[in-house]
Amino acid sequence: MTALLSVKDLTISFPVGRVNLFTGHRRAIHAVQDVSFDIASGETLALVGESGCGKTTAGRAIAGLYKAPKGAISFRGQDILDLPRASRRTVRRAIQMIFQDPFSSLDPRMTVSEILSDPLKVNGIGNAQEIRERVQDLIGQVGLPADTLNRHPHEFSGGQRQRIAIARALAPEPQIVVADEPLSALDVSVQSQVLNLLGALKRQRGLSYLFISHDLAAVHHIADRVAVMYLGRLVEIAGRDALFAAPRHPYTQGLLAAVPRIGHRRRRRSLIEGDLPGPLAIPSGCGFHPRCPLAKDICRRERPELKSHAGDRAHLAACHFAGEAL
Amino acid sequence: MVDGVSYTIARGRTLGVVGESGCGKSMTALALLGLVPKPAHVTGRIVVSGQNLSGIAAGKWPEIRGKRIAMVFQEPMTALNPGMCVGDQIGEVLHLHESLGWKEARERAVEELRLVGIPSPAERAKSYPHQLSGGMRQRVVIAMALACRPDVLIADEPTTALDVTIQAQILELMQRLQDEIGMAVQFISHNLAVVSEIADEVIVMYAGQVVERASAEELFSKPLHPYTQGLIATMPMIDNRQEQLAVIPGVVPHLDGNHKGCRFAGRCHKADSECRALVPALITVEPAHEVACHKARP
Repeated sequence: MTALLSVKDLTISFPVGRVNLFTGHRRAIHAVQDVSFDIASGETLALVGESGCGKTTAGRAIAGLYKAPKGAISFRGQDILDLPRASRRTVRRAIQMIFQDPFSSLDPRMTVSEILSDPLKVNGIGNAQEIRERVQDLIGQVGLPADTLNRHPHEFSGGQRQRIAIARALAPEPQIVVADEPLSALDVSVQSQVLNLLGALKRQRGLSYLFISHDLAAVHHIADRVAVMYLGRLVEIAGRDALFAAPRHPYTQGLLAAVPRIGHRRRRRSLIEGDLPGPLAIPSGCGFHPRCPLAKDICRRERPELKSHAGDRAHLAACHFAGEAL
Repeated sequence: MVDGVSYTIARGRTLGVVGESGCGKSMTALALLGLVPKPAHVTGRIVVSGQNLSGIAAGKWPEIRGKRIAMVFQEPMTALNPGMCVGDQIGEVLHLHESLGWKEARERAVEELRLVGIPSPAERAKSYPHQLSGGMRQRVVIAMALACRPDVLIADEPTTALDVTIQAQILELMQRLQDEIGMAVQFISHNLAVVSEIADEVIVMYAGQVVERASAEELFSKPLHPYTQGLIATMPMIDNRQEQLAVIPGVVPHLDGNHKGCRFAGRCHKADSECRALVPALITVEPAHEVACHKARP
């Protein structure tokens, strides 16, 4: 499969604190550092990790919500960070986003019909009649009745709002949808409905997803491949089954062991001790070494490269001891 | 909002309470602490270690809360006072309930922080909540709740705001403390997997009523109520991946006073005219397994 979206050495920094009087520089937090991955057409890549690991920042950068990140993001081989203004919009149409909280991502003063027609008008798709038809079609595709269109977001439950947000993302006919924790604000019984809807839309439209989540059970359900982030860097990336069956990075192993599962009573579940370090105090060498049960001297000195270790060429891990059992 | 809920928890045991938002899980817990907001009123009995707490004077509640029954909340940042160092917050509990002097209370607070696994507790006691991570804050809230060795600990979604590796640490901590202190725990969560791992017994609530009760093992291996079955089937399982997840159609109904029949009937695929007309009672269908469903009878 050729890559639809290709991310190479993506680095996103935010300046913090004051300008240093002597150097004229400000300190920076590297929220995302040297992250590279591909997404094929029709593929779902999940980006997982704990809060603060940079997964949302990476997703937002891909959706074009930050100015000038470092590195390269290319769509169908064309670098989209370096486009002239005029052609930016046509490429941007192809990458849309669904946000975590459907209570804050929909404008409360707009009707659903306005919410869904806005992205069409902005992109100059269709005349008034065509837009009306398109909007009616969209609302049906996400499983809501047509009379939804004249109502306002506050009249809907969380699950219905998330369906509206999905319809809005689909309006300009994107090829990639960045879904940032689309389930975490929803009740358990509604989560499965939204997961099923995302699955169905993918099959019908051949969509690709960048599915950002901390919920590993949902990721296992929806993803084809999984990338694990820790302190702004990718630490492991592999096909779903390989990653869940034989995780190579100790962080991934600890993350999977911590996932609660039905029928596993009173087992040992915390393999990872301590907390995530602050973003201004990133440890030397391998960022995970202070919490890692396998850490040796080399881990404190040298940062391990993300590379394949044995057999599976598509399974990459950034650990000096990748493959050793925890 | 909550209607006819009965349960018991033995010392040293954990009762899991599950259900969707709005099913009455948290309101039931607040009733145990005398904190149900007005104009709602509470009827029924609450008995802790043989003492009946129902109908006691409002002025008596502060002696119960924090001492006999304590609570851990979902969001540790809002449960803690941002303007007070954590050692003093724990010390205050001991000062009020155990009449310790402030100096002694602060010393005990450091011991309590050590008990919940906070490294260098003497220094951490001087920290303010914003200087601690989410996991550390939740440890402080747990230390505060357990400072007076309560008979009952109510934990309302205690790990929902935490990352999964921190959640695992907090669950292990709660189990260790329960083994050491022996309190009864009422563990409220919408996360069935967490409840299946930590609870001995589970009640499932729907629209303010208990619809099923069983041991955790029995409930998750042989759920009898269609709502419980639905909740379990909607969860994606790493151990058993399904292409399509089950769904429970509709939403929890808003109930007015004159609702007839089973409250789940509107969303239930087994519902018939009997369900819409008659309220099912919670009855024992198997030893230690109760269910409120007309269709689940043997």
